[in-house]
Amino acid sequence: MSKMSRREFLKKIGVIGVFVAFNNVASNMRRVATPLIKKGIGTVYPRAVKGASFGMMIDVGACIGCRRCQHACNLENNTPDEPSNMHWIDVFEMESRRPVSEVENIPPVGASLDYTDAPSPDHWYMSFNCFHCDNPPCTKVCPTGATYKDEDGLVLVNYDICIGCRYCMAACPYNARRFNWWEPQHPSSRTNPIDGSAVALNEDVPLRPRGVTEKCTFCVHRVRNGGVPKCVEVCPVRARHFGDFNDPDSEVSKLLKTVRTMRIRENLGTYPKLYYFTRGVKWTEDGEKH
Amino acid sequence: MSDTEKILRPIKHTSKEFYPFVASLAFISLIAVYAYSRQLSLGLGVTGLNDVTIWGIYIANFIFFIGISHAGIAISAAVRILKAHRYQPIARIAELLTIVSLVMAGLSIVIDLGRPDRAFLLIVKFVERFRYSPLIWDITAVATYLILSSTYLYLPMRRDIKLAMEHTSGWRSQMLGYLIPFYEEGEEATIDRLSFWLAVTILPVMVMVHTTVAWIFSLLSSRPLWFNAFAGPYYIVAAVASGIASVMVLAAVMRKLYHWEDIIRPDLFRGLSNFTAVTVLVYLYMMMAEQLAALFAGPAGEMFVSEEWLFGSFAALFWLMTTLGLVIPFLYMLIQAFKKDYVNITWTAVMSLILVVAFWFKRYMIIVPTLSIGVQEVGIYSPTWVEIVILLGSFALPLLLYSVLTKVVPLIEMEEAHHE
Repeated sequence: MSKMSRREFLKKIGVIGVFVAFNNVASNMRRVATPLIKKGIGTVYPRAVKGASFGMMIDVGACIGCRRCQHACNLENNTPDEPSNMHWIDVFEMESRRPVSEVENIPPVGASLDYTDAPSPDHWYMSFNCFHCDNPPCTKVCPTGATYKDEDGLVLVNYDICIGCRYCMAACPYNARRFNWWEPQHPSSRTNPIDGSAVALNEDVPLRPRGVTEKCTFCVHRVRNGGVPKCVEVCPVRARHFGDFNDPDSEVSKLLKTVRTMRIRENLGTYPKLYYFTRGVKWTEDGEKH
Repeated sequence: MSDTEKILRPIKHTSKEFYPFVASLAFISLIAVYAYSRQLSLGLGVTGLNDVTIWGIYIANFIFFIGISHAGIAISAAVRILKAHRYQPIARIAELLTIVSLVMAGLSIVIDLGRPDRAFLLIVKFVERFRYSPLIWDITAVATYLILSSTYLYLPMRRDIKLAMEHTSGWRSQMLGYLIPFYEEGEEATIDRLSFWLAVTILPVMVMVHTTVAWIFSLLSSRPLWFNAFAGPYYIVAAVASGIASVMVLAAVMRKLYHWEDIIRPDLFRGLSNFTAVTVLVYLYMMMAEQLAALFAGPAGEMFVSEEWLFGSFAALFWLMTTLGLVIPFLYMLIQAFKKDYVNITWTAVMSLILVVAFWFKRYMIIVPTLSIGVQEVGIYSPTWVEIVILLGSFALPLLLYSVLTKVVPLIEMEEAHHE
């Protein structure tokens, strides 16, 4: 120890340090980080529509609880099968005598996710997916900026830089987010539950790796190219409406002016862009619409 | 045997029992490493966590170990700033505990990540996200705390290692020499000054560390019983109580093992136990205030969680934790405080151990009910063997680290011995 002078010792340490830093740490970090930085955001979505504010309105009075939206969404967005068994849309069966205020809790008190032959008497249905809040609590807490609100109001996840801490899921008041607990299973072709035909994976939607969060994107690949989300398209009773709230001529803007609406847990100041409304139609015990 | 000899005993002599003890700790840690490798290769699905109860044992562990880490600096900063030299003998025992538990807290977060391979993004994105994410604040605080407290541990230790070098010979002495590069005679005065100001700096950092841990949860406005303005102080009180309790356990064990009866005197336990009793009382009071607000005012979410705690599926755990885990040790310490000049170290250590366990369960209670309440079967969380094994390992690993450290560094500052 004493044979080496302090200066010499420091010099050696310094040389080793510089060597290690440049050849290992930095190059490794750069190798991993460069593709991310080049791509900008990692997961590539179509370019945001300038000046838009996309949102959805759901007619709970019209909804018959058939879950077609859920199945169509699963196929459209390549959500993993067993064991993840993930779906971005939850349709809760509500007892008709429960007050709407109990919807304030997510999932609603006493509601059931079990599939029944819908519509079943004395029940009504409440469909939940990501509300794409105007003031989203989930994007604020993200430590890497993997989840963000885009210019057109869509709250998206960059699957390439998500570290899987699940802080966004803790922050979300609506249980809208899903986590890839297992390696996602995507069979090359799946069966359409409605007509039994084979369905291939949708190539417009990126597959998610294990260990990241995901959620409803309002079918970003469709709506940014002028379409509507798959769930809106397949709804047999037109309970779901989609459009641009900033466009006064859009369907949802007109609806918002003419029907009475509510949003879930407005007291949290999240300003969800998913409104629930009903035109006073309700399924009753004899299964008739009144 | 002089005090110096006694203090250096663990470094010079290793009893036969030490090896099987360390080996079993290493074995448990290895099983935990295996369990973690399962989790790495199959995904977090091997845990009992789900889309509703997204956090569980790992995060409870994180809060717990951050809490334990508080005692070390609290005690030794009190020694240095308030000149409470009575507590000098256990200062380093506590500081070492701070370091190992902070390391374990950091590990707990990494274990909980779905993509630990991308953890470096926390640094890449640091500047961009610092304004927003409480998790980033917490990582900053923990890292600062770890750096400051290990510096604070190391600097005053240099003179003791030097002293240990003089008292040992051969390879032991040489190895110890590598621990103190650039040692100079008379550097003690500088180090004393440095340490004082380090202690002054560390105290606010210590408060911030646990406050930011509390903020991770308490800034989420939608989560009942997390969203809470006094979460910072609430968590700090628990941290100090559990930390000092675990220092008492460690000090009692080492006092017995290394025959330090003359060095770690009973009145020291008395002081610590009195202080712990006060913090536990404050904590019970805060818990009561919290539950009253949840039940009496009764906002839906808060009431659900509170009822689950007090009368629901977590009631058994809650009441066991509160009565057996907090009230009984508190009563014991209270009665002991009223008896003049009396302290039963064995019982104090046992009660402290119970407190530590109770505080772990309290952390579990903080995390799980709030997330899983009011939810159907899908959300119910029951830990799997992977989590249990990692939990055991997360206690075995710090203990292992600690045991090894006792063989490397002098556990007690040898100031008095130095002046003899």
